[in-house]
Amino acid sequence: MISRPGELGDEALVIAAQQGEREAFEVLVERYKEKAYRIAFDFTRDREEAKDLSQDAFLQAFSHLKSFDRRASFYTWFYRILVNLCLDYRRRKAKIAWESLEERTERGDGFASPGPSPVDQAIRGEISEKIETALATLPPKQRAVFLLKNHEGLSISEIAGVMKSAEGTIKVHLHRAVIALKQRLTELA
Amino acid sequence: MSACTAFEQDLVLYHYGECSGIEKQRVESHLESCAACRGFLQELKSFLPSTVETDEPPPSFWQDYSRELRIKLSDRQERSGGWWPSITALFRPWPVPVLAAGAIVAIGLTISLSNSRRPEPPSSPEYVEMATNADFFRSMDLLDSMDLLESVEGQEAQQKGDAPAQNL
Repeated sequence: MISRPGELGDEALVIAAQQGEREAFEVLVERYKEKAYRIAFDFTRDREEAKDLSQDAFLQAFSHLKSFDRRASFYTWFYRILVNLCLDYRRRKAKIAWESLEERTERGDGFASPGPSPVDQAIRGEISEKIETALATLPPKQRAVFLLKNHEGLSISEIAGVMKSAEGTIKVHLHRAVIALKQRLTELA
Repeated sequence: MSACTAFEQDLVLYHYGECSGIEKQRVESHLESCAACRGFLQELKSFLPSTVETDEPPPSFWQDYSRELRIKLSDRQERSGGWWPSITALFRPWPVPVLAAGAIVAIGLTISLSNSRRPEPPSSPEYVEMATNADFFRSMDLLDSMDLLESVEGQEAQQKGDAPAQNL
């Protein structure tokens, strides 16, 4: 049993957790749960979904901890798990939305997307809705890079580690995302 | 407002503080002389922060979050391994019936062997009757047949002429 696990750095906690100290992993959870939740919320915009996704990420990290070779930092490795889950979530949502659109088309309901309800629009604000609409139009990786940089403040090198991409690629994704958002928000204004 | 194509990406990086050294000097030098790029940078400063929409759950949310995750981690640990599953495995399917069957066979053999060695009881009437009653109670659950036991004792006593008659 480790004493004062809260005072240990991430690497020491990972080593302890890999040796079976679950308490060490729980310290990592407490250390990163809010950030993990915020990232998941950026992708989902839903509190319960964000909670489930971020918890799933911790569970996956726990299950695969013994295979983590510690070449990257724990949070880079963990955020990679989390971002992959978030990207997968977006793909599933898009697929469900597409299938729903196809069903509506077959029924003869037309191509109009359901859009937000009037109550939702009033509650969430028109600007917020436009931002969410604009973000939703970004390709998944551009969106992921943009959220990690703009919302979470990760550095380009950190994002490159999370996304397992070259820094140059991340810079291109970020640039394209910003320009696309700027243009989209102008159109929606 | 559109920025100069050659500087557009660098301006985005500059906005996020990702420009350093020579690149930063190059951008800042260009900004001094280009109004379009200054305007573009100003637009980034105004609209990019507004895209952030955070959620601030209450403290009770985080308490529930931690508690739920601890439960899920326990379940995950139990399913994947650790000392607890090795103990619970002793009580899982196949060892129990095998052990139970072995115990029953052993007990049965012991009883049959001990019965075969038991001496023949004397054949006098009293002993026959007692043996019959003893067999009877051995075949019953005594806790459920206390009334019957008392009635049998009463009958035995009556036959000897000592005890009053007992109603069954």
